[in-house]
Amino acid sequence: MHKLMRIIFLVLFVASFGFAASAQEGGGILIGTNFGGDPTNMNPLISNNTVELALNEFLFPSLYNIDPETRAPMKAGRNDQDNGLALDWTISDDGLVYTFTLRDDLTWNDGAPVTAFDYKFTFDALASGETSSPRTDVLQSVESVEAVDATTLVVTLKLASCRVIEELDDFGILPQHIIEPMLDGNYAEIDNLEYNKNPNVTAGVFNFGALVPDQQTSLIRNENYWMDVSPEGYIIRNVPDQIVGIEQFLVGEVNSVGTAGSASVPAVQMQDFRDRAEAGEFQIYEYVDDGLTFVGFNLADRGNPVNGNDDDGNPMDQGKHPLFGDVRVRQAVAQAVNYTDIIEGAAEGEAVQVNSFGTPALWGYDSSIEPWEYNPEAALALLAEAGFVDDDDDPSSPLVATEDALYAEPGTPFAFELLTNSGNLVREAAGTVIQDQLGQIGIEVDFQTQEFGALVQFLLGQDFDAIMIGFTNLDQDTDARNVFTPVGDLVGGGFNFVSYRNDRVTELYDEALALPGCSFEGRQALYHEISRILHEDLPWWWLFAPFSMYAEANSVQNWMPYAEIRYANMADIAISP
Amino acid sequence: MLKSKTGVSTIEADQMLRSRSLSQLALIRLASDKLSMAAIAVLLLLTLLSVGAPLITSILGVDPNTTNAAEAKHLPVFSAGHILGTDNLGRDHLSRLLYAGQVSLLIGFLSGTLALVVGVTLGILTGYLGGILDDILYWIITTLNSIPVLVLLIVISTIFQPDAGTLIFSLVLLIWTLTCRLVRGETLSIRSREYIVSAKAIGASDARIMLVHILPNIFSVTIINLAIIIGNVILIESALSFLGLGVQPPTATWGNMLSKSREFFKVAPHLVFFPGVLISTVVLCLYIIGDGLRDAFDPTAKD
Amino acid sequence: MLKYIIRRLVQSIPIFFGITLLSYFLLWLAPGDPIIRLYFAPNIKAERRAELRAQLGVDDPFHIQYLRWLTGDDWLRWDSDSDGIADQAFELFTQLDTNGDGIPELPGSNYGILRGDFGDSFVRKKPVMEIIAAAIPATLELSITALFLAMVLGIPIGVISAVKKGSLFDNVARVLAVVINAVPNFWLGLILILIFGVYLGFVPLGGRCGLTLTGECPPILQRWQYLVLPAIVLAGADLANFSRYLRTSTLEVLSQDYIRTAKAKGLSQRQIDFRHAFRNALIPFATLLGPILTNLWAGATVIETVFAWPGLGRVFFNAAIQQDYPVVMGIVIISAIATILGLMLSDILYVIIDPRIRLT
Repeated sequence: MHKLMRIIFLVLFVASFGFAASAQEGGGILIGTNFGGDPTNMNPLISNNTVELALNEFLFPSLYNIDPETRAPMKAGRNDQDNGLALDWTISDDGLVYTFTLRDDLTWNDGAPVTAFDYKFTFDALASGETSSPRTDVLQSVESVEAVDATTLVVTLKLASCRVIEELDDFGILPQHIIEPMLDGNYAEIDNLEYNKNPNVTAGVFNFGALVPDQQTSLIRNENYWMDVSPEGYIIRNVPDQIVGIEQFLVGEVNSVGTAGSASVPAVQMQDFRDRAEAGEFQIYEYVDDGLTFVGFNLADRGNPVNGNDDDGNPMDQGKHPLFGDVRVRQAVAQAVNYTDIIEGAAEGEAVQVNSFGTPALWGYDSSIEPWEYNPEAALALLAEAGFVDDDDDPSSPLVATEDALYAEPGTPFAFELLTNSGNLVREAAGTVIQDQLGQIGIEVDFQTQEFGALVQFLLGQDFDAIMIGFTNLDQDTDARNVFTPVGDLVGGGFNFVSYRNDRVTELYDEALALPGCSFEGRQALYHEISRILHEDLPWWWLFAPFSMYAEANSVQNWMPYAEIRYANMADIAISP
Repeated sequence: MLKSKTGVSTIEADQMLRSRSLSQLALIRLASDKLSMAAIAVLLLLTLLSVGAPLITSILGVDPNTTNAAEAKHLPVFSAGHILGTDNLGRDHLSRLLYAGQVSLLIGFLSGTLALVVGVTLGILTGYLGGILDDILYWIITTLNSIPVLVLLIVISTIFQPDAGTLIFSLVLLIWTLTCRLVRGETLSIRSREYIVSAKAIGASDARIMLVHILPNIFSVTIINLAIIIGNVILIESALSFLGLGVQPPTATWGNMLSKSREFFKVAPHLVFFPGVLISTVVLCLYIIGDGLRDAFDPTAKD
Repeated sequence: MLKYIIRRLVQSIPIFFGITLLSYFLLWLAPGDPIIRLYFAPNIKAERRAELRAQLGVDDPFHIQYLRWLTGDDWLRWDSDSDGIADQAFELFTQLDTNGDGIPELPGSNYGILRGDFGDSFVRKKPVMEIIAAAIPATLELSITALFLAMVLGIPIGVISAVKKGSLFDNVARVLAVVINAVPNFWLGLILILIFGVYLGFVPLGGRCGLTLTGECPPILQRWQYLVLPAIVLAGADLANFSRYLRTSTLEVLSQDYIRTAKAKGLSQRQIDFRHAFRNALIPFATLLGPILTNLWAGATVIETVFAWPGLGRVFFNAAIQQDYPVVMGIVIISAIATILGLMLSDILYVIIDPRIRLT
């Protein structure tokens, strides 16, 4: 502790003479940059934004470790540094009971052991439904969680689910002995704990240090961790302007661009970063991001949004969107834009086109499917077949519907509204290119940006023609029943906001989720089949998945990055002066 | 009281003559101020270029919305076919600047002028008539003035997504008070002057007094003010864009072009340079004109 | 003097209410369900949502919500001995039913803004006043430095410009003053960061305190480098305004009778310039000071974002984009109060500097 104090004084001292030196001579302090807002809630049940999730990772224990290479669940006890509890687990023959055996050598930083009871407490809080936790997927299939003793955890399911193992690890574990006394038996209190702003009792590589609003958040080495921790601490500096943040990295005021949870090298600078890294100025690591940009076509009547199924599970009549109700129209649109232009314009060329749901980084993604290609003639032919023609030989006026159109009144011009959220330069650029290129074949796009909250209301309310958004931090499991089956088609709250229904797809999702034994190859084959159907059906029009780049100063030693896992070995990292 | 027809016209004629000659004198003085004339010329030129954007772009054979990101993005200045280069989507930068100028200048001039009309009307009315109306107006003015314009605009812009129309509307709503306060003050001081009192004494109607006697006398104050307000509005629009709250794309303004292109300052510095220079130039011209007008109307301040 | 101050304070009461009315009205106009905005979680239960609606009183009519915001809801029942039971003596008041639904309200825990309670931040879950108080030191540090720079440089430049009217100095100063005002300040800030931070390495690229694990902020003299650029950019516009005002008013004073008299009495040019002209030229300057003092933080919103300066402007902006209305309104109202006081201060200064003006 004294050593730490000395170093802090040293930092203060150095800071008073040379600002540039302070970061470099911090003696083992890792410094990252956060371009978003401050973390406001570090409770692992509630936390929401990337910086909060990044902090959770270093503060709270989890049910099991993740293999950084495959991102599959991994039993503890191998050469890993994480604080996952599970040494081993078994699954009953019917797939409904999971029994976990936990390690007993992990302690909270106040000395209390981390036990199965802590996990049960955290799960029960989530299951109460009184918190505003977003991590409720797990509740769909889990019946109960019981702690038999400190090291034995039994999970009972309502229905067999192959992704439950992943969902059980969706949240970090809270210290029951600290949190429970604060609640007065009322789980709703979890939302408003003082602990959420100052999680003083944790069990990770680091302890929570301090949050200075709009300036920095710091983590300090946990001296009582189960293994030796090398870095003194981790400071996340708040920099509102990304341009300035990048320059701070380049002049050496900070060690890394972004935080543990975000890569943040802008696409336009990636080539420059590659060149400089090659010249030895700093270290980089690149991967295909799991963030996905797509356009969702509303397949149903936007004037009268209804749920996919009624309360008894019977299909409801949702009407048809005059344009996008016809699959040929969607396929024509997908062939009417030049993907090279979109990727160059929106992502400076630093992205790959994707063919169906998911990104190449996920195991359920079928890379063998050929993505849609730019073919304006084919698009026009398909549109003519679907009953949309150029009636006046004026390329600047939109195509109009003829008698042949399935759902549009004859004479309806081919014009639609494309929405995205304001402030996202990538989507603004992609939308602008789409607007221009569709305009060239006679499709009039009214491209608008909406403030995010307003956009979400249009989206969940299913009141839109086409909407461009993105998914990030997709689960490793490719199951997407909530997105592409009528179960998720709920006006005002469901993720199947495009009202997609294909009974074969629903069947395949159900089968893949409950596949006996959950064999990896078996499930993968089913998801690949789904991918092929979705690729043809185009309820979403998949655009691209961007590249991500971590950049770390040369002073950061023993750095072991993986896709989506920036610091796989935080405890070993050393920052040289 | 007896009305003397000749008397009224004498006073009015004298008054009108005085004000006209004052404005004429001011104009003559302004015309001899080379700096102001240069500023007016530059401003006129930029306005003409923006208004003539469709013509100019069709002559040059470019279009502000045609994208070509795969082959022609970030082209530098003086590239073939693109005099000022292209942006990150391969769109012609010059034509975008011209079209963006239409929006930026429209926001500046329209909200400035509308605010002036509202401010002058209310200022003269309440300043001259006084009474409870004046008290209420004064209350509204002081209330609005005690919150900085940018602060209220940020609040309004986060609540209502701004396009050019709503931005102009909210600007007018916030800045009319600046002119109004000034006009009201001037009116109050003019109201008690001799010629107004005598005009009243011989039975001139209130409307006539306000239109014929007061309005010409506050002309100089408001016109100086107008130039500076328009300049400030253009700056405020760019500051809002920087914060991500200005006019939203795809509509381009100089402000959002400048703030968006920050990201590309290394690969395409011209994208940052031109919008910034255009904003600064226009605002600079407006300030110089404002200064020049003040000197022209108030010769004591100059020499 | 005291009477004058009291009168001014009384006069500002309606303005204060105007501001509260305006800001509450804007919030009330905001579209969308406040509960959804606040607790965006599709899984939130209907009962919980209804409970929150009732708790926040979002369904009450405007004037009730406004009054409750002003005066709080703790007084809905009188409980003088804090035993949780309403006093019998105040039976009449215990049955208050402000929203007219036939059920008397339970006392809440809000004191209302009139008693300095702006509620809790939606996002940070902390009292608004605490959040504002935490940001004020940084704001004061930046704005006072900027004001100091603007005065120390602006006043002499203005006076010298006037005294040496038409000289090269005068012309350069006047042109620069206009140019500084005309450049968007975030643009200027970024350019200065690139030049002085990145290329020359003279100053750090933003921030306020340097980075430490404990988050402590060293005394200002040890971290003055962080303050230089933002203060200069923030001072820029005011510096220009100061020098322009000072120039104009000094010119006016120099042409007045008593200066000529002083000259006739044989005082040297220099004595006249700085003793007489300066003091009298300060008079209009006093009127300028009030608005500038209070506008400093608003102008700082943009500059604080560029320079990562953790002041009130950034707290305000973050709250605005996160739709954290209690914080937004807290800052708007507190800054409006500061403006009113600032204007009053400048009027008082006016009186002190210029003895010819009598208090009325």
